[in-house]
Amino acid sequence: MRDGLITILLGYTLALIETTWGPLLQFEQVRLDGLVSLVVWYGLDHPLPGGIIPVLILGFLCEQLSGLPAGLYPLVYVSGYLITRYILNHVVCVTIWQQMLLVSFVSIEVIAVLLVGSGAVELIWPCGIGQILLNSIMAPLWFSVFDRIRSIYSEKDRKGSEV
Amino acid sequence: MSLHKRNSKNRLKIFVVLAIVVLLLSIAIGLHLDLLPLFSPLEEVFIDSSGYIEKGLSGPSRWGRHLWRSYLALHGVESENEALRKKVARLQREIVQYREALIANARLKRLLKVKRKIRTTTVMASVVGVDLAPWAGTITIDRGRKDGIRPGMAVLSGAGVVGQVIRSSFYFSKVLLLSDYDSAVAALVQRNRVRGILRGAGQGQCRLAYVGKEIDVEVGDEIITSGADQIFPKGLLLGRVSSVSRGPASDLFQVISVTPAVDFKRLEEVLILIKVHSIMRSRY
Repeated sequence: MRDGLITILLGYTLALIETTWGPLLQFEQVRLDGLVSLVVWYGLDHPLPGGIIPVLILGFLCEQLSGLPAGLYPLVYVSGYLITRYILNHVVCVTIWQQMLLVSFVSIEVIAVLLVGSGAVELIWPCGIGQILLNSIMAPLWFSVFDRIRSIYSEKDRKGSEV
Repeated sequence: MSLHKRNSKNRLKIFVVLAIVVLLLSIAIGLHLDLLPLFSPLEEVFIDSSGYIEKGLSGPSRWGRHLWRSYLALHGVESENEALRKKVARLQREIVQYREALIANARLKRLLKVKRKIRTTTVMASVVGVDLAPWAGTITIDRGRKDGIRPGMAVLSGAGVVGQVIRSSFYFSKVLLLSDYDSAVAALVQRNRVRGILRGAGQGQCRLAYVGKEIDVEVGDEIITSGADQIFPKGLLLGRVSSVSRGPASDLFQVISVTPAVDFKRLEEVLILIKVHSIMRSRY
């Protein structure tokens, strides 16, 4: 429950940073984006059915910060989460390269659906592919940041329970 | 033995006194007869040689003095340097602030000119955010329903039309830019009054759609609002034609690319045209 709330808060913060500092973190139509990595990172440890709710909420929040057709963001993030869970049923993604590959799979789905849904299919090459590559390359960094944040609050919990 | 010593001492005294008298007499005679210039070459040789010696000796002394002074001065210079650095940094900050104020002033002047030209109620707003999807053309502005802003209102900048409000909350609003794929504005080629629809083409560009192949449109033609969409008043600058292509023979219309007059990447302040009927529609 609390993991879900922190993921929502983290995702919303990332989305706000992207919409305010976006042009600084952007080259052409490719932008530094941590949201796909966040969905995958959350999906790695949180199974269905409870795990899907924070992702859905995050999708709705992101939709408020975008002018894309209604429902696209909840759709892409929930399907990204489901893809992560599906792949995890068959492969155990523990190494960095496996996680990068997982983020790239989910990114392909997210970018393709967002571009098709917003009527900008022609941007799949090179911008869409560039975004997918950037997401996968940056995934280990994002994962380490999210792990660090989780370790901070779980450590506080542990200390609290010891007291 | 002591007698001999005393005699020689007396002789020496007499000799010294005589020598002094002779010297004084010769000086007096020399001055009287103006014989001193005869000694000037000798004086010059003496002055030159002593000058060289002095120079040789004064070199290290000057260096030592310089070193000492520099060392003493360094004590003060360090703190002075620090103070000057701080001063330079402060002045540079001030310059940046003044420059920023100057640029903002120019932008606001342009907006004011537009405001005077339109003569309807307008609200100025600042751009506070862009779209989460990098390719989508929407921006967030810091004015909302409390300022009378409603969906469907036109948004302008000093350079021309920016887009229209698509969503508004109490304090903020979302604006759909001209270049977004979902944007469409009733337009007019200013030179020959040909009508068309200016549609967003993404990546900061637009297309003028539904202009027949027989119609003459040239690169550089200005595209303005026609007013037919009931959102934008007639005659506002939308952009300029950047390329014209006939397209495939099967197509009925030309492919006309338009570069918007507004640079959306550098947009900071916008002007929203408040329409009374928009407010009425939202109330009833």
